[in-house]
Amino acid sequence: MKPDTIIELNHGAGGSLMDTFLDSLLDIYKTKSIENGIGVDELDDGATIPLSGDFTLIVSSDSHTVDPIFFPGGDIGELAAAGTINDVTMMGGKPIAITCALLIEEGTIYSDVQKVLTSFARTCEEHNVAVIAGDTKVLPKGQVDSIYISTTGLGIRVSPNVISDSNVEVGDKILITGFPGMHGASLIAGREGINLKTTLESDVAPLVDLLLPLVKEGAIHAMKDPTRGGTGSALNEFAEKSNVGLLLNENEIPIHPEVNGVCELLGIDIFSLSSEGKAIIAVSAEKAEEVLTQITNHPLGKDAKIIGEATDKYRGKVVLRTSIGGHRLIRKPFGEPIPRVC
Amino acid sequence: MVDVTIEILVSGIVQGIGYRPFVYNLAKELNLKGNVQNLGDAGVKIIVQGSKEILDKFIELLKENKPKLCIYESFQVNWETTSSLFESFEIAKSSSETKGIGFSYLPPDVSICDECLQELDSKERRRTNYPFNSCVDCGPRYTVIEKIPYDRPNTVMTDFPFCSECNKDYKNSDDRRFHAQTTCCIDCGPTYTVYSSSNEEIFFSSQKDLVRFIAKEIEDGKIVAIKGIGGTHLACSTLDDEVLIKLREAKGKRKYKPFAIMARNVEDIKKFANLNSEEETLLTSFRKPIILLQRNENYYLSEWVAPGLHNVGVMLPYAGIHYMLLKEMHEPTVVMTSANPSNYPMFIDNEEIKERLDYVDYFLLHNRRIYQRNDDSVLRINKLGERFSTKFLRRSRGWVPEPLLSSIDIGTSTYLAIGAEMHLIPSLMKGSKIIPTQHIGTVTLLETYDYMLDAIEHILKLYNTKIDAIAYDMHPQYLTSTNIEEIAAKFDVEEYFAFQHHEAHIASVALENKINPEEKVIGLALDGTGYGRDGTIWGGEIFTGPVSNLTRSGYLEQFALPGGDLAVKYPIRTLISLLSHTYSLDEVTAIVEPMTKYLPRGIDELELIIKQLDRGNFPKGFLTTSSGRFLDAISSVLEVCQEQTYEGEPAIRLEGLSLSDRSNNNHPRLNIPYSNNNGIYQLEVSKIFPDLINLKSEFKKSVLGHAVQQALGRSLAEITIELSDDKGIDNILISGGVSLNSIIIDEIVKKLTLNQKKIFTNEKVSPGDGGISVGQIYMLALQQSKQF
Repeated sequence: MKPDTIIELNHGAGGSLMDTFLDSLLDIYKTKSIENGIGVDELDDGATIPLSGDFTLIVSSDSHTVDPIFFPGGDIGELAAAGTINDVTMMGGKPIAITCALLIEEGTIYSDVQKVLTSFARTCEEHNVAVIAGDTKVLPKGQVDSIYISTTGLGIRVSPNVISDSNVEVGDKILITGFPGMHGASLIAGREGINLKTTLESDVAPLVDLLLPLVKEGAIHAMKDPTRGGTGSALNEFAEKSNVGLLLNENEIPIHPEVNGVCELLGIDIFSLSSEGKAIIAVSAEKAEEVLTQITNHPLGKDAKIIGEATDKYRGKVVLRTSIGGHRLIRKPFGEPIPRVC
Repeated sequence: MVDVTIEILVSGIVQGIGYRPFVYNLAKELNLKGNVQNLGDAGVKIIVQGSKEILDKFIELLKENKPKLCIYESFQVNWETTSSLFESFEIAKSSSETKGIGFSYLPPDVSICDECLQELDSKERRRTNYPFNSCVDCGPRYTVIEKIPYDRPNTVMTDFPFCSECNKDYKNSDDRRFHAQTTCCIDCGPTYTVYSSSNEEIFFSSQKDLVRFIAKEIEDGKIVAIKGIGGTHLACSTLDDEVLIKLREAKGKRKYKPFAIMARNVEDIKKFANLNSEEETLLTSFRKPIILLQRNENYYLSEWVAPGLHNVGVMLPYAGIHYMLLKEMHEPTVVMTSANPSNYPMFIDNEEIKERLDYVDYFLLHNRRIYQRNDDSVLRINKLGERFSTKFLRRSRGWVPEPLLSSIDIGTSTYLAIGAEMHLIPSLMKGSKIIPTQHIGTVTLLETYDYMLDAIEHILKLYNTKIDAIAYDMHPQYLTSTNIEEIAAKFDVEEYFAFQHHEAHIASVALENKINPEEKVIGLALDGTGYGRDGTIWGGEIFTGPVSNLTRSGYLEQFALPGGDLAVKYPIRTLISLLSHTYSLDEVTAIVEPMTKYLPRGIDELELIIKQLDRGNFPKGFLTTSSGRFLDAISSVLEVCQEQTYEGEPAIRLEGLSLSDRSNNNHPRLNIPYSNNNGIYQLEVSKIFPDLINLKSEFKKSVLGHAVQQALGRSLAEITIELSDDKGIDNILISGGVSLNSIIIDEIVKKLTLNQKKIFTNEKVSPGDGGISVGQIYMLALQQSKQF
């Protein structure tokens, strides 16, 4: 990137512009990993640090902002805790501890801070995660918007194998644990004031109980929670980092009718919408059905589906077999969709 | 008398048209010795020995009596000194040698000629009712050639070894099939087979019986897939509403898309459509395109052939099978629409045809491979002032691979321009020639993308060249742009340059009309969508300046497209947006409320759009100056079309309705005001809506629609005249899909002509996105030539 580039919102939107931005930032760091652990430059959900014996520590760092801080189905406290717990889980780790740095805007009401932190604490407590360190800053009005939360999650790896975005193998089945895009759609619906006949809620939820029992088998090669940048970004990460093609069946993708409604009303691509309580999983073909059954037996995974597979063809790309029979590329979202139809 | 030897090198269209047999017979006639040979660059080399006088005569006759389809680009005579003497005159084995003189290319696919047709009706056993009958003058070319030189082993006919009789014909210098590469007969050539919907072969004793069966089934309301020259058609009755609706449903998303039809002959066409001399000439030419013809008062075909339009797309038979089919039918017309789902390449593989077209009753398939697809070309003949003007909606079969001539020469370089995304036709430039490929279609699916790459590769092979630089569209989300690095890598190209969509439209007109690139022009680029230099969507643009450096000097007032492409699909969204420019949001809601049934989510959707307009912070890509979208909104407010089921539908049906009913002379005068701020003009299109809404109860839709389109044309013309007078520019270049609208263009032309302006439009490539690549490649050539 050129020195005089003005940072735009799209530089942080989880799309292809952000990739370029992050690549240039990563060049600044020197030591980026410990021994043969996963380091910052792999842009995975977190890092791994090999410890003595067979232990591997998993570290994941995240900042959380959301507008509004209280949204249908949750708040920023739950979002921060669940998001961090999920990132550790996606690496095959059992989350054990978390840190919490709060940035609070001058003028925020105390009860809001209290509510948010209560949600945060409850979410951690329910999943046996200790809040072990923290920091609290109050900033002048306008320097932050309401409350931001910065976290670092720690966990111990329980999977026998390294679960990483770069470990998807040709032949693996690709699973999604439920309807994609609910968090993003509910937020946008709230913001736009869309009058939906029933309430669409964020799917924010820690997935540790759903997924940790599964990773112990070793059949899961990669996992990702499709947060910012949506399913499209997460799938492309798999394809690029593992250098496989991902071939998905449009007919198999579970679509929540109200998420679809929001997309159809606003002209948004469902693959660009974020989820906060779903995972995309690459699992070896022979174990796929078994894993699917285990997931669908859990309330958080009842709508899970196998949506496609990793292929030798289309390496580095995500391809959707459409319901009419053609194939189209799913790309990382690049800002707003620009009209193209004549 | 001393014999001398000369070498003659010719280029142009000299292969695939019976050139060598022509040379052979001429040499024999003059008793000259030597040989004639196809070269690897599609040129021909002749070595000939004889007396000087006779050789002069030979050269003269080579030029005078050349075969019908022959075009000489260059004709070079070298006097040789040789001691070796030839014993006879022969057609020598083709050589891969390239002489590098001139520019050679193969002819397009040629419709079956009269002589071959007569044989279909004759008693000659091997040729009677044989659908693949062809000779040196006719038959498929582009679709069957795998590589040059054009010899049988390099075509798909290599799958069909000659029988002894065909071999004789091929070698007989007196025969029409002397050295005709597509020669074949019922004994050795390809044949048709009929399959039922359950993929069972139905046996017939002859090709004639099989066609008779299919003809009857079509007239009984069945749908038949017919594999032809460059693709596969779906055929059905033109009279039967039920089967037409069934076909529309089966093809999906084709609710109102017009189907092309094939008619037995010109007399039969005149029974339902008007035909002017220009249209008749083109229809009956060897190119056999589809032409959109004005329906006449006796139009008797089902309304479901081309719903809501004033015209109908008609072509004449161009393959033997077409003649045979229409001969067996009582009704002299049949629907012939291409067999592919939206945005998907035509099916050409027999297994794929049978598998994918599961709604078809019968399959009429032949066993000759289609090496390259080639869709039917589509044209309409508009009036441009006093003269006829040929407008390509699609330039493909019958034209490809003919080049266009540029006024600038890029020497030994070769460029590729990809085009935009819809109606894609890439082009190649070599020397001073620009060669558009066949029509590819909308490149959003990978299948179509791969077809595009394949077509580019094919044309590179035919022209024996490799690419040095690529031009493509600026739109950041077209598949052709996002994949540009991959495309460049595939063709081993390092340089690629993005060009602005509407500037490319104007450049295509400049190229065709050989406008001096340094000379200033005014360019009107009118279409639906193109990515603008400012990140908004353009489509109603007025440029000034030399073609290589156009300045945006005017445009339609900018308006929002709530939902982006959703507004394209549901034009009422654009209407709501435009109404909000002159009415309060409460008033807009009141006006649109009775029409909310046209929004899939009704009143909730209306409320949302109103909220979005109230907030107003649309992303740049949702803002537009598009003339196509403005016409959409007019089509919506007049309730002509509320959903786009094919590209440009609301505007096309608006034009259709306005032209179909011209009885009412009582025309209201509507006006689109414009402003000029510091030399930048703006057409205030939103101002027309209050008048229109007030007049809705008083006038017919057709009359109001006509008045709006005229008003748009008039204001565009007035701005153009002001700019022209102000800047002293007389050359006006007009392009873009909206410029196909005859009401708008008539008005512009009328006004400009009155003011002595010179008007240039596209007549060799499409003014729509099919012509974009030609403009891009010309801009690239201009840009590159400046660097030297």
